[in-house]
Amino acid sequence: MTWIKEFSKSAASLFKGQVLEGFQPLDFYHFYPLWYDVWMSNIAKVIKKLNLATKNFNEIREILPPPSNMRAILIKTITAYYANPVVNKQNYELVSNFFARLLTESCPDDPFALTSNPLHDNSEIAYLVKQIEWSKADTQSARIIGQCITAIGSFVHGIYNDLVTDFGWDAYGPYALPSNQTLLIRSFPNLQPRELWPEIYLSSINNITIYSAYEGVDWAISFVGCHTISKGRSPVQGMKKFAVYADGKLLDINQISMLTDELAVKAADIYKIIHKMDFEKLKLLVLKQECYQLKKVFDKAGINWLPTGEMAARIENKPLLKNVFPHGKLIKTTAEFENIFGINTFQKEVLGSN
Amino acid sequence: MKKVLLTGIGASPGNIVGVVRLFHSGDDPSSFKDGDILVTTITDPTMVTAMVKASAIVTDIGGITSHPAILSREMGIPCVVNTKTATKALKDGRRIRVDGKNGKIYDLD
Repeated sequence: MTWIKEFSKSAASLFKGQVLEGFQPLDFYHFYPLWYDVWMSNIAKVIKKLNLATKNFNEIREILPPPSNMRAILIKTITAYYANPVVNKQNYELVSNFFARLLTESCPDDPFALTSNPLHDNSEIAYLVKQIEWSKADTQSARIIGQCITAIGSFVHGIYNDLVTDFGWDAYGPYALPSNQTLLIRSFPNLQPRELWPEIYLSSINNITIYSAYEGVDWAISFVGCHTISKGRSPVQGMKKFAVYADGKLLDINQISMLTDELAVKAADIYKIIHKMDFEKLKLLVLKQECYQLKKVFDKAGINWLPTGEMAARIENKPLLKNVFPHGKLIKTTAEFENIFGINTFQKEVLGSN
Repeated sequence: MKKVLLTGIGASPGNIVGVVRLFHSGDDPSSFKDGDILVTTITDPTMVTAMVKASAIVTDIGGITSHPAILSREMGIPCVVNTKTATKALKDGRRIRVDGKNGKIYDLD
């Protein structure tokens, strides 16, 4: 398959103007390679057991993580291989081709989110727009929506860290509406991961969807769905209407503010726990978060989703790798990104193409 | 013409004048005043309550896809990341202008 060059154009945008220290609470890129080959092997087993390579996106979408989450798995797969190349490349090939294919089927117009994350087709959007119970936006309500996204997004960063974020946060669009407006759909699924956190820290709502329509704001979604980029008018000035649904129920503006307060406090509480964790516990948490994103797929296969003993042994009392990826370096071009993060190596050694 | 104090990456557009408030992970957000400019190494989820009160955010590290950048854009407030030295160069109470489009911090005192 020749997907990797298209993929790297988009993935590079995640890293351009970014330094590794910006990802918290762990130096993930020097952590994943310690055990990712075992994870690849486990995913490959599930793909084979469920015969997923022959199934299209719509047949299995209910058990898959959001598209941005699959993109993030791909970048981790590529960088982990680069940092710790293994002899058995078949698992990396099978898994990466599997997720790349699902992305081309789920978002055919922009599979790797170069500028958009178009999960819905025109007929789905037309149907949705008719169903949404809109409220008219003004500056004050638009600011409340922005604050709500900030609170939910930060809560997601707490429960899933900076690299599994997209399991709890994806954004779809931008979709052009006939009214000359642009629709964005912010989706926050999986906000109650009971297998990762005690009940007291979880959101009272499992799924939150925020619909918002704008005029005069040019939106792009870059590589993963939480990376919404706007140009033109401020989103607060440009928002014309909105609707927020919590587990399918429409919220009014007061309920939205209450939800913001709840999740802002819980985001802080969770992150305070993370800050206090010793290094061994933190490594185990990140390992578990990574496995959790494919829980439904593993459940379907009847295979335990939890990290295996072999994965845990790979990290126990082990330091992170050092100096594979540069710290403090701002990546400026796609070519630089491809060299530093091993895109070219993966293309040649795993996918077998030039 | 006011002096450019710091240059970083403009991560969320807009111009705002305000007062610097240095903020660290785990600090008590109830002490953060509405409209202050949040200056930190990098934001994290312990700072959310302060972030939603901030008129702008300035950080030492990060890029356009970092936590402060993404959320500033959602709230429509200016944000400058990767200034490298904001937490050292700026002190509580200093009046500054944040230019989130061009990534510049101006001294107004």
